[in-house]
Amino acid sequence: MKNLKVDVRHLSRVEGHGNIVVDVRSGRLEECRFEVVEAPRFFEAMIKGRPWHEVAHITCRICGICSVGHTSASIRATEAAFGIEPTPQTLRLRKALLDAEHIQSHVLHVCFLVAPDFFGVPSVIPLVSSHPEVVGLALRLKRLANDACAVIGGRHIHPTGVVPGGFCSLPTTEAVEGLVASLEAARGDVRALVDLFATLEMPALSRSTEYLALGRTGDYTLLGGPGERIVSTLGEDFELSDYKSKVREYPVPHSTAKHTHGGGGAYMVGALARFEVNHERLHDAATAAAAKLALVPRTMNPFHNNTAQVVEVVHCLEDMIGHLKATLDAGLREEPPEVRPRAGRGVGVVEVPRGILFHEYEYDDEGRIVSANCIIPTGQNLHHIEKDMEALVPLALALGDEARAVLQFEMLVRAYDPCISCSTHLLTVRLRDGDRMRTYAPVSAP
Amino acid sequence: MRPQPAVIGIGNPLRTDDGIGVRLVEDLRTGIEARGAEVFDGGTGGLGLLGLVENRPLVLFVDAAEMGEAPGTVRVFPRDALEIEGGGAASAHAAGLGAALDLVGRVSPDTRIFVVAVEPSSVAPGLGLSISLARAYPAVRDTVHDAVHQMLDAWSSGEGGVGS
Repeated sequence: MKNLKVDVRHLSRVEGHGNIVVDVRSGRLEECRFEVVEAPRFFEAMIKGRPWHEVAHITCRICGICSVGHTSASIRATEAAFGIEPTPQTLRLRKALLDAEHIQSHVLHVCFLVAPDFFGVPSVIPLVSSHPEVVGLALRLKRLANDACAVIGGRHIHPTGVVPGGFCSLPTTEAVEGLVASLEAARGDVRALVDLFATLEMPALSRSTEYLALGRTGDYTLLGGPGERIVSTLGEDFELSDYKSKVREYPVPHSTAKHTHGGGGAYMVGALARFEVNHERLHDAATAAAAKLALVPRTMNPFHNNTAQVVEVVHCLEDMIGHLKATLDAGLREEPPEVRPRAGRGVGVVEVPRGILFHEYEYDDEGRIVSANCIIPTGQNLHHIEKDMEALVPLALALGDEARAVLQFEMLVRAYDPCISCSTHLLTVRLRDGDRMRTYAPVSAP
Repeated sequence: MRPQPAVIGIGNPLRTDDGIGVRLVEDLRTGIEARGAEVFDGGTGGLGLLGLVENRPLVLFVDAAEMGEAPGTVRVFPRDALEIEGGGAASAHAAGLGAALDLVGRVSPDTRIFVVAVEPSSVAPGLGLSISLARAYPAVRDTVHDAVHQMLDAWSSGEGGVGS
């Protein structure tokens, strides 16, 4: 096959709207781009002038899937600006909360969005009938992770209990004990998830890749804090507050989202990047899962971001259990947050399910936002996605079948688990039978 | 403990009227909880909403929806009357509630689901409601209150909720 035209408008099974455009003529690549068509973000402008205690409540609404991540990064930026260091109890609970978010997001991604490609179906809906055990497993793990978010963070989605300085409401000891018991009971389901993915073969693609993630502490770290650095697999590392030395945004004509480069070109963030930087710090159960899934260091295949997410589900379950048990052993105690706003700049860096997230704020002396900058992981991956698409072209052509080739490009983009839009969702009502609209008369009309 | 009905507000308060569902359920929370139903801010949870819905006898989603009506118009639809966008191709977030409605109907077929839909005026980025919906809000809130309580009444009396 020497000619290939891929023009996927509004790629399915990713969050938001993105188009894949690949044009090969007589074996020559003419066009290759991943177009992001979401409206520009206004969130950074929305929080200007807002007081410090409102900021995280606003920014948590940036995304319903990564809400804990945005909340955490926002709070860390505010704490850094005000010179606040969280207590050990706060850090344990925040790490446990991030673990919960990673589990619910990864399970949703690998089971509902990725798995259908391997079962040859267009969506998770047919799997309800053909593979009910897969859907049931995913729903149980998602429910557990969402319940963990509610216990620790105060709400299933968009946490309320996490604030600058600590927690404004803590879970009870009984609730945490119950959660630990539920998490331990979920080990069987997590093993089943690993066993399922051990039967799926990721497409082959290999390209030299720079990975970027938080690292340089004793943890497989998700929550940026003292001693942690932004680590590149090319051998560099940076202070969290110095992220702009590495992460440089620039606009591109075909995308409403900015791209980033790391000085030397594109880089990749996400679960695979975290694995590459921190694999030696995985929980033993996760290391064993990685071995079972044949995920090894220096993997240069972006499709294995899916695999790394499964490994992280194992790790995050054990990590959460560990943090919660340590909290119970120390005894949960009220630690009323103390915040003294001041003028200053702070950077919060957190690993959310899709990769490293940056929130930077500047405050005035009344504790109101002067300026804000937010760089999401998907934006950082966009350039790398396009480079991978270019590398995929000859492999796709070799398949000799356009439908299979198009699917490979779709699977490649989905493997990054992109979150292209974090805010639009408006339901459009279309009734199965148009005449029945009259049946549902307005309950009221102005 | 027997699962209780749930009333779930959907939307994003950072997108003007898109957040009306979230605002409404918070304003009506006390009265709904007094009826023994649970109230959730579902935000933009998309498929993350599934865990809140499964195995409940009755779920009412309150959400902004394009119906081609005047802003502030409230309609109630049973789930099975709605044509789900994309033929069920579930995007984790972009088709959020639609995908969740499709999937939950299959994994929890005994759950009766209704959408209490409010026509927005604007879903552009911005905090707070649009001017027109802000003016209509007291009437919208009262109407949604009555619709929700009517459906809870029907459920508790064994009728299972209203359809038209």
